[in-house]
Amino acid sequence: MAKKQSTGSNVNTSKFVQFSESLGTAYSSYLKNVKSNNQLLLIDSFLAFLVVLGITQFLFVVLIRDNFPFNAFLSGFIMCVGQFVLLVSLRLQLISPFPGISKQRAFGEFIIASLLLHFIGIHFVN
Amino acid sequence: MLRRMRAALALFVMLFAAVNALSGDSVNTLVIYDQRVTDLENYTKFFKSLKESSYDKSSNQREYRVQFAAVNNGDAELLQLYRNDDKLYDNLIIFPLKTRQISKEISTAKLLEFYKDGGDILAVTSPEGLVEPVRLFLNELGIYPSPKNAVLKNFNEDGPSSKHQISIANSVNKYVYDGTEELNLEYDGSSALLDNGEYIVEILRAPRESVCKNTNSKEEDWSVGSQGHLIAGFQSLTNARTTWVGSSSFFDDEHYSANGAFIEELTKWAFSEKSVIRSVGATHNHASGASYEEIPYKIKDEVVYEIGLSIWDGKKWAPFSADDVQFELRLVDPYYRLTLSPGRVTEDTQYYTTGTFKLPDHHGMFTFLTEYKRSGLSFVTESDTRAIRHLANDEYPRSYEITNSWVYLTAIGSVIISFILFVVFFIASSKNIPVDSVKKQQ
Repeated sequence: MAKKQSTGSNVNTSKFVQFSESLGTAYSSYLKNVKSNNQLLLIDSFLAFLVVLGITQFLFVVLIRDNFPFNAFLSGFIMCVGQFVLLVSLRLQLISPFPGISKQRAFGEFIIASLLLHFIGIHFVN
Repeated sequence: MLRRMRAALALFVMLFAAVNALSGDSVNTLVIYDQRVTDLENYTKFFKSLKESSYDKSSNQREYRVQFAAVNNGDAELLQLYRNDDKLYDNLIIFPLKTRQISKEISTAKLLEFYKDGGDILAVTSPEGLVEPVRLFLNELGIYPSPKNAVLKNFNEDGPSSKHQISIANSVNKYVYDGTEELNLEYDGSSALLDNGEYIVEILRAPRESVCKNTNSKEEDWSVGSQGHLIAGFQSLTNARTTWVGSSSFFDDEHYSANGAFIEELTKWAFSEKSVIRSVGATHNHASGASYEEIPYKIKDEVVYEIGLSIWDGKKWAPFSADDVQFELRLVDPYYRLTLSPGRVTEDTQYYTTGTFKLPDHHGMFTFLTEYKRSGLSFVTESDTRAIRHLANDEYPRSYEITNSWVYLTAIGSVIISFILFVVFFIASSKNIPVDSVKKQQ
């Protein structure tokens, strides 16, 4: 790494290297965080799965060029987005709990909100 | 209920009118003439044909009564079309009149009223006999006969001769004369200019080499070439017909051998004895056979529409065949305009059907309409306005019936399942942590 930096005559290259370096630092610190906490790993893999699912549905609509059961698409897509948002807020509370709200209570709220989301989603898809 | 009653009433009135017009006991005709211009002795063949050919003695009991009334001859009490607001005659024939008025009773307004009430009028004028009320009446309809003393001539003939041999090719309406027989008509009289109104029926055009003008004055030519018309008709929306002929000698015995066949067809048309069609009614229902009353229409339903048409062949109603009857489904604009195809035939009716078609994906008050209006034929209009409802909320297909949505359903299912797994794992893993932390605290 250091060698590359010294040989790089181009300013752009040095910026790129800086960027990838910082990225690497962020990634390693993230890995360290996650390793110490299995719950965060669990949440993050679920988040990644939701992103893939949402993108898949969107690509499907784009590829068949028809959004015919639009309510079904909306409900499938919003389900992914909603679950993603709820999970992220759970993750935030696990890392730094809000004052006056315990982690257990945050988890309980997450479950209730998720069940509500599923209920609405299933009804909307008809 | 009210609508049904109204429909029944309309049907009754229509039936009554049809019976009145075609199979009543007698058809009363009034002939108005001027003794100074017209000698009835010269028209025996015409009146004979009028009485005889108009009905068939063997099959029809109808009586054709002709009443003659001369102006300026003390026939004043005969010269009226109404008595106590009752129409006295079915048909009116007016021969050329030299007088200023027809009579006190018969004015332009009275002629129009008679015509509006369904009376058929045959107006015969000639260069020397065109009475003002008749001229004004014709002008109202859009027929403009040439003024007094203007005569149809051949443009390269200087002499006073104005007799014309007219080929039947100049006859332009096949519903008035179908042109099966080659005729050379003899015509001596005036011409008329026509409005371009929709209800005008062109019958006989002036020859191309003719010109209509007054030789004694320096007025402009009234009509030149086939711009002018020698015989013209008008059919109102009530199917009453007015026919104008610009020559009285056209009808007389001297020319009857040449003109007779054409005159017979012309008078039949003028007095609604031919080219009269009627609708026996239009029906529409679900393709399954269920009526609107049983199952009201909703969008995208399969529907069949049918209308029956008959034509009066002089003795009885016969099936009417045509290939240009169209049906419209309208909500302000037509959503469908379908050419009807011939379906079943009964003794007196040809039925036309749309076949099954799908109602549009649009709810509202739609009109099922057939408007068959052809120049020369009587007009047929059948319209029925019905509601087409939208789908109720339980009539849409369920999402799992639509294959596209299986993708989204799978996504939802996997979100829910993975949520449950997540919760299980989360609780399982969190059970360790509190224990650890408790241990640490200890």
